[in-house]
Amino acid sequence: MVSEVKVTVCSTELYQLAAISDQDLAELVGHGIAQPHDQQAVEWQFDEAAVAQITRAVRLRRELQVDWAGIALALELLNELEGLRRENDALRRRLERLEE
Amino acid sequence: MEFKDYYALLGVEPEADEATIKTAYRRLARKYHPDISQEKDAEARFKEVAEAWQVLKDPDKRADYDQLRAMRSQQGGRGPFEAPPGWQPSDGGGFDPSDAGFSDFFESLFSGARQGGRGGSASGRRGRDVEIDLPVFLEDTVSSETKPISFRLPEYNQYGELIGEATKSLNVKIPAGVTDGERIRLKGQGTAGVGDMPAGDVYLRIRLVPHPLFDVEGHNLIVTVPLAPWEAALGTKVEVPTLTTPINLSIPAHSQNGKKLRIAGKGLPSKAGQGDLFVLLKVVMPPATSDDINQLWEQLAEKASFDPRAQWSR
Repeated sequence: MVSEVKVTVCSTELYQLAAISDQDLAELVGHGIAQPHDQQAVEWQFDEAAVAQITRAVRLRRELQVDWAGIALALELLNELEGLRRENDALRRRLERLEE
Repeated sequence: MEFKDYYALLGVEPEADEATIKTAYRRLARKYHPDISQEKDAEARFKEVAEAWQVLKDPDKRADYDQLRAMRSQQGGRGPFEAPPGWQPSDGGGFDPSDAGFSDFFESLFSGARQGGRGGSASGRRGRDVEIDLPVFLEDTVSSETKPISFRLPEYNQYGELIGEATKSLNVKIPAGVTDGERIRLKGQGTAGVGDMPAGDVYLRIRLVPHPLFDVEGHNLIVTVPLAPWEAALGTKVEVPTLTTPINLSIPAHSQNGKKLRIAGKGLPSKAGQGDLFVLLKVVMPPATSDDINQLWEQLAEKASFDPRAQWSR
């Protein structure tokens, strides 16, 4: 069966992982780019998917020179685009099976 | 090495002010950023643009570059470029993690700063994360599989300078139930850190390889089963492949083309439980027909008096 291992990363480790400042992390969470397990906790905990999202957001922000609000929107649209592309590929393959 | 015209790369005049350069960079970054762009050589173009920006946004670096550019144009501005003997960048500024992977031209102009200058990289730097696509067959997602993988990692010296590449091999356990696009983090398996800093991580991005028989929809599988017209009309038993052992399936009489039959629990494993296998019926005409068979079709046509386009005439 599927074994579920939850790995969490605390904000101190995250500062090092993603080279992100306290203030930026607060901005990022404020814009809903990533969510800690408990926003009220003294030290935030993030799961791996959130860490990946944060690292990507930090990189995109540096590379595109866009503010956090822009990054939040870009990430949302990019994730949606990725999903649609994947769905489109899958549907195209299914269609090919039905066509002669 | 080739002399890079950073102004031309950003499409700005050499006299352009900071704001103009920033705007030009932002526009090109959006156009060529590999996460966004569909253009073929987007990544290479983006690197060039990022390199130009890295130099021109920084007043010290830009002044150094302008000086070399002026010297070069006095010498005719042609042929390969060599940094002047004893060349030292004036800023001596610290290491910027986004510098890695820039051209030899950039390295020859600005990397000296890392060794001698203030800041430098003596304080260390965490190793780089690496992202790798890992093709996985559907059959491999049913149970936990160990897969050997190997990839190339850039190697840096103690100053954080790129000195080469090394191949790294690992055995990775692919957990059952992985989905397309999912990322697996291998902590500390990326490039080594500089100084006392830890190594980066490797992220494996699962890519499900398209299967010749099965399509994936979430955690369900779809298999298209071809049927002769009479099999669809009269019903039949078909051996249907699954990811493990084939199973016998009864096709009910009068099954319509495109009908879906569900076989519970024969899909992909997932955290929410086992997915299902859907059997999609596809009625296929027999190829060539003889006169005998044509007669039979004619008889059928007379007896059935079926108008498949009845809805059109309404």
